[in-house]
Amino acid sequence: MDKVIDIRDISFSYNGCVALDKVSLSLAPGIYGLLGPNGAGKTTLMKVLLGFLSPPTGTGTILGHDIRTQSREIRRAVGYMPEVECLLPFLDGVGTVAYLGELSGMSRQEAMKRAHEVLFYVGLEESRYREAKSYSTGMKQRLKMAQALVHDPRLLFLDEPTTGMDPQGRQEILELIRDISAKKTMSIVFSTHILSDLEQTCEQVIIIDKGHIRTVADIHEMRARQYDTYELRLKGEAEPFFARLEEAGVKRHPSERGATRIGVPPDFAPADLFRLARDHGLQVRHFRNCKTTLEELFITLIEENHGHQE
Amino acid sequence: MAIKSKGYQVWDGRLLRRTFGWTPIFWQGVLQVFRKKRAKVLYIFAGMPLLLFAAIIYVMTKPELKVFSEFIREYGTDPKLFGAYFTNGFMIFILLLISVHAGASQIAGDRKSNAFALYFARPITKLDYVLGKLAVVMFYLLAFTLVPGLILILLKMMFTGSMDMDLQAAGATIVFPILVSLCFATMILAFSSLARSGKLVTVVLFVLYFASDIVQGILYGIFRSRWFHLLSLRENIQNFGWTIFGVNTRADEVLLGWLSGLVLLVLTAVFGGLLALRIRRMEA
Repeated sequence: MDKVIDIRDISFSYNGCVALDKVSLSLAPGIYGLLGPNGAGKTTLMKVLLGFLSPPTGTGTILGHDIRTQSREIRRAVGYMPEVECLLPFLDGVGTVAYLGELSGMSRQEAMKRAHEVLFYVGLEESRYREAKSYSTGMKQRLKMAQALVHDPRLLFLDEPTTGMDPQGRQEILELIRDISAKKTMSIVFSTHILSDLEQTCEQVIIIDKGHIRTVADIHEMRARQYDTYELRLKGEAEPFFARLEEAGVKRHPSERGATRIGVPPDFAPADLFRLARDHGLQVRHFRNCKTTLEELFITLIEENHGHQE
Repeated sequence: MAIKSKGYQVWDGRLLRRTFGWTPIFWQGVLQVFRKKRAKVLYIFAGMPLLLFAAIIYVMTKPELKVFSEFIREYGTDPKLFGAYFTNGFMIFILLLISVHAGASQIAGDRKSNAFALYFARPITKLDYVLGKLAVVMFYLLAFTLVPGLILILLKMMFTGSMDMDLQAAGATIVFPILVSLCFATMILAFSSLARSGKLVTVVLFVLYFASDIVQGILYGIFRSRWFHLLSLRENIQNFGWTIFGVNTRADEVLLGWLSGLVLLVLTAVFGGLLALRIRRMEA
């Protein structure tokens, strides 16, 4: 299957501050979550992929188009929903979407027809003739989504699409993303800080930190393969016990109501844990195998990488 | 506001490859400016010199209206008639108003609403963006200078029933409005690219226009030297106009006229360069 994104050794700096450092990425069609702490390089990566920024080193293609020489072709085939609040002054919803469709290469009539269609799709049919600047935050997010979809791109970049939305609006945007990806005609790269959004929508996750791609993996496989999490509550002085566990490679996360969550490596049997507790004179009052959240996985991965660097 | 039951619909059309990527920006800008508040009042106001000069041409060509000829004696030749049309103070002020009306918010508005992220995610270049915006301002400036100028030539030919026309005046009727409009358009767009508010751009342009005139007036009053006219935008336009239309005949007037033209060209180049620099630095 052809790659939608295939880049090699892309680097980019802002006045000497490295934002991307020899990033290589090869993605097949699908829906990907782009995850990373603030300043990790997510937005810079998207801007390089869209041709907004020209990297001094590296090569690559987006949908088969060279990122250095064919940025116009790339932008014809790609939809982009920016993170920042942005709109076109003096235009209503349908005018905005139709105009941006025209700029993408649609004829005026087609763009207007399609603008109505996508505004219906994102749920702005009743507000489409209102000036866009009067929209609420959630409506502006939908409008940005509509303009990214108007020319029916083959690849969609969504930069923090649920920012500033109430829970219901967030769920509706996530539903839209799931619906689009279900058609299998469009690949999606979805950047967010809200990890549960990724869990609900994405098949794969790209973790980026300090300008490096840390991993690209299937969310479910990654969780099953790498981590087994337990929640336990102990009676007695537990610190030496946890110190001993950490020496054995166990990750410790604080949990609610006096319980502690631990992520254990695959070769660590639960029986070893009970044995160690007994050796430290502790009573295990509560022990439960629990689901690892993506947030825990993400923090663990980032911590591991920082540990390797140190 | 849930997803419609039919779900996402794939678009089966084909995207066009435009030779001139700026044309949608141009058409959108023209419509947007036309829909602005008080636009119609301004256009009526801007159309008044055309009506007045059409009436002058009519009176000049009709012997039965000789009684009025005393009032229009100074427009007796083509260079004087067309030169007066383009260089009168009212017309220059109208150009200033149209520049502000059509151009002040063009880039400032996009900056204020972060529209670059939307524009440059499309298959257009920064040059397309600038050309589109420039074309909008030029359209309105030329609509009230070049087009009425050509209409006046046609009216003159119709009323006199003759194709006779001073060739220098005819050429200047085309070249002069284009050069002056380009100067105003690059100036307003350069200011617009520096600000986030169209109102601020308007104020700055008016202040510069009147300040240059006032400074020139004071210096001319003190030193009685016409070279200080080079400091005033209005005087430069007028001096250049009288020279290019062939009204100025004295050597010092002609020299001053061409120097004024040079000042306008330099201003156009400086503001054009500033505009290009600002747009190049703008990030999506």
